Amino acid sequence: MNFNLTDDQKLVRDMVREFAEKELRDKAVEIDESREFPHDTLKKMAPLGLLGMVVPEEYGGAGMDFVTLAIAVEEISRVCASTGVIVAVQNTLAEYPILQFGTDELKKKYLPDMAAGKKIGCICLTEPTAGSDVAGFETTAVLDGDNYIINGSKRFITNGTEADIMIVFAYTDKEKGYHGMDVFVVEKDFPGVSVGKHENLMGIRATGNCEIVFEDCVVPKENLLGPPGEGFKTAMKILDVSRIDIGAQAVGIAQSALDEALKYSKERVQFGKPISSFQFIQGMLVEMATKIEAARLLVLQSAFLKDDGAPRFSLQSSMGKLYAATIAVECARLGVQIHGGVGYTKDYPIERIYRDAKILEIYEGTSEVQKIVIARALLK
Amino acid sequence: MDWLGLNNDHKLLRDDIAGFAKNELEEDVLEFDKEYKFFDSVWKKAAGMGLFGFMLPESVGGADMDAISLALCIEELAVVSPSFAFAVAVQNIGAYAIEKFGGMDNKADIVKDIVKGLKVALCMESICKLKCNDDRTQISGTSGFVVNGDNSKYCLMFASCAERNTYLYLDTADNCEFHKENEIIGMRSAGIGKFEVKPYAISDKNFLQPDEGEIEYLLKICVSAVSTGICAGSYNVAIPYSKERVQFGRPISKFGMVRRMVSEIEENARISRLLTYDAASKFRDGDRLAPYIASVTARDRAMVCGDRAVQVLGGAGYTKDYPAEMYFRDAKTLEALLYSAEEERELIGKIITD
Ligand SMILES: Cc1cc2nc3c(=O)[nH]c(=O)nc-3n(C[C@H](O)[C@H](O)[C@H](O)COP(=O)(O)OP(=O)(O)OC[C@H]3O[C@@H](n4cnc5c(N)ncnc54)[C@H](O)[C@@H]3O)c2cc1C
Repeated sequence: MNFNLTDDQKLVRDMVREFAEKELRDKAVEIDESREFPHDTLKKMAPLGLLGMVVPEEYGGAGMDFVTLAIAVEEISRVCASTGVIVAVQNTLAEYPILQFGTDELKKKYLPDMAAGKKIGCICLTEPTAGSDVAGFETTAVLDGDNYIINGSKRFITNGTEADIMIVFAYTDKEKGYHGMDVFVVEKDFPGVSVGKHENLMGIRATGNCEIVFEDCVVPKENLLGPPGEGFKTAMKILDVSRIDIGAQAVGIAQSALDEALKYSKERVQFGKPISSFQFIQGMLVEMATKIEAARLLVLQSAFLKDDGAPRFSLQSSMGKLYAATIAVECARLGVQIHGGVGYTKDYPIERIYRDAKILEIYEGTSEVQKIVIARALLK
Repeated sequence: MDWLGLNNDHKLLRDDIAGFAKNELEEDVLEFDKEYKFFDSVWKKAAGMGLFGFMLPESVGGADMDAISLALCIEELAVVSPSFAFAVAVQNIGAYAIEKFGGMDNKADIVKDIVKGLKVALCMESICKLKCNDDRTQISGTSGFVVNGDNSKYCLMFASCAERNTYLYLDTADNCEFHKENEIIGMRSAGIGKFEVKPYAISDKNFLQPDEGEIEYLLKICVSAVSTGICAGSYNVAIPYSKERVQFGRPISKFGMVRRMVSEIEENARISRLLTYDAASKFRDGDRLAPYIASVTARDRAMVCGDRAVQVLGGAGYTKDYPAEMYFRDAKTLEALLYSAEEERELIGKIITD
C-alpha cells in the first residue's frame, strides 16, 4: 500500500496546475459565455502531451499511465470544467478505444494526429431514444462490399461540432441485441456525416455539444473496432475507464468549489472578523474538504487498478464516479452558500462551478445508472 | 375553509392566477430567461388585474386581502416563472411597507402609483449595505442586489444609519443609478441589479418607522411561496416527462429510483406549501417563528426539487430546452440572495431559546 504519487506523476500534476492557472483561468469565464470551443488552448496543451496521455510514444503519445491522466483531468477541471471534459473525451473516449480495440493500422493512422491535437475526437453512443438504455439506439451499419453504410443520428455529443474522428456505435444486426452491435472509427470527412443541432447547455457550455447525423455514411470495413458483434462489451470496457476521468473531473470541480470558498471566506469580513472564523462556515469547509479527499482516493483507486492490469473494475470506477459526482454537486452548492449574495453573480467563478457540477450526475451514466451497475456487481 | 386554511375565494384566486401565469408567461419564459429580459407587457396586465396591492386597503386601490392570498398568487406565478413571481412579491412588499410604515407626505400617491404598476425595488436586509452620514441627512453607496430594480420608480433600501438598521424609501429618479446584472445564476427575469446611490439627501421622512420585523416576515413568506412554486413547477415538468420518456422498453416512471425522485418533488412541494400557508396565516399575529421556519425549509426544498427535475430529465434536463435547469438555478438564487439557512437557523434557535 502506497499513497504517494511517483515523481513523474507529481511533475505532471505541477505542470498541469501551472498551465491551468496561467492559460485557463480567464479563458474559463470567456468560453462559458461565448460557448466557443477552446481550440487555441488545446493547441498549447498538445506539446505538453495532454492530448495523448496514455497513447504510447510509438504512436506519438506521451506514454503515461492512467493515474497521471486522472490527475491531469482533475487539475484542468479545477480551473475549467469545459476544457476538463474535452480533454477527458479526447484521451479516454476517443483515443483509448482505438488504442485498446483498434488494429495496428488504425492506431498508426489516427493516434499520432489525435495525440498531437491536430484531430479532435468524440464518442457517439447516445441517441434520442437511447440514453441510460445504451443498447436502445437505432443507428445501423450495413456491410456493402468493402464498406459499412451507417444510418442514424446521435445526440448530446461532446466535442461534436469540432470532431474530426468519431467513435460511433451502430447495430450490424439488431436482431442479435447485445451481440449485434459494433463500433466504428468514422472520419468527419467520410461521405454522409453532418453536424445537427448545437445544444445550449446550463454548464460546460464550451464543449461543442451537438447532434451528429449519419446519412448513408460510407465507412471502410477496416475501421471496425474490436471483435465483430462485441460492440456492447467494448462500450462497457470503455466506460470502465472513462468513468475514472469523469470522476476525476468531478473531483476537480469539487476542489475548485473548495478553493473559491476558502479564498472568499478568508477575505470576506463580517462583524470585524473574516467569515472563515465562524463555526458554521468552518463546518461547511470541513465537510467539503473531507468528502473531496475521499472522492479523490476512490477515483485514483480505479486508475491504479487500470494501471495494475485489472481486466475489469466496473464496481470501483462506478463507485468513484457516483460518489465524486454527488459530492461535486454538494460542494458547489456549499461554495455558493459561503459566498452569500455575491456567489450567484459571475463576478466569482463559483456561479459557473455550480452550473457545471450538475452535469456530473447525468453524463457517463446517470447516478441512478451507476447505482444499478454497483448493485449488480455487489449482488453477483 | 379546508385543511390548508383556504376558503373558496382563495381557491378561485388560485385558479385565476394559475390561468394567468400559463397564458401570459409560459410561452416566453425560457427565452426571457436566456436574455435576462423582464416581462414588461405582462407586468402591465398584472397591474390591471390588481396583483400589486393584495394586502392594501381599498382606499389606495388595494384588494384588502390576507397574506395567504398573496402567498397563493406568488406561488402560482412562480410555477411558471419564479423570476416574475419574485418581482411581483417585491412590488407587494414595497407597497405594503410604504403604506404601513412610510412617513412621506405623498405616501398615498406613491402607494397608488405602485398599485398601478410603477415599480418599486427592494434591496434586502441580507445584502444591502448602504450607509448614512452621521447626522442622517445623506445616504450613499452601492447597494447589494435589488430585485425588481429595472426601470423602477421607487426603492426600499436597507441601510445602517447611526445606531439604527432600517429600511429607507428612495425615489430612484434622484441620484440613483441602476446597473442591471447580466451575469447571475438565476432569477434572470426579476430585474435584478445594483443601485449606485450618489450622495442622496434624506430626512426623517425617508425612514420607515420601526416595523418590528414585519417587512422581513412578509418577505420570508413570499420567498417561501416562490420556493413552493419552484417545487410545483419542477413537478409539472418532471411528471409528464417521466411518463413519456421510454428507456429499457418502459416509461422511466416505472423505475423505482425515478419514482423516488418524483415522490421527493411532491413531498417537498407539500411541505413547503404547508409551511408557507402556516406562516401566512399567522402573519397578522406577528408570529416570529413561522416565517423563518418556512423560509429555511422551503428554500432548501426548492433546491432539491430543481435538482430532481433536472435529474429526472437526464441530459435533456441539462439543456435550455426545458425549464428544469431554470428552476435549478432560480432555487439557488433564492438560497444565495437572502440570509443563508445557517444564519436563519441561528436566528430561529435564538428566537426559541430567548
Ligand atoms: C452535456 C452532455 C454531454 C454528453 N456527452 C456525450 C457524449 O460525448 N457521447 C455520448 O454518447 N453521450 C453523451 N451524453 C449523453 C449522456 O450520456 C446521457 O444524457 C445520459 O446517459 C442520460 O441519458 P438520457 O439523457 O437519455 O436520460 P434518460 O436515460 O432518459 O434518463 C432520464 C432519467 O431516468 C433515469 N433512469 C433511466 N433508466 C433508469 C433505470 N433503469 N432505473 C432507474 N432510473 C433510470 C435516469 O437516471 C434519469 O434520471 C452527454 C449528455 C450531456 C447532457
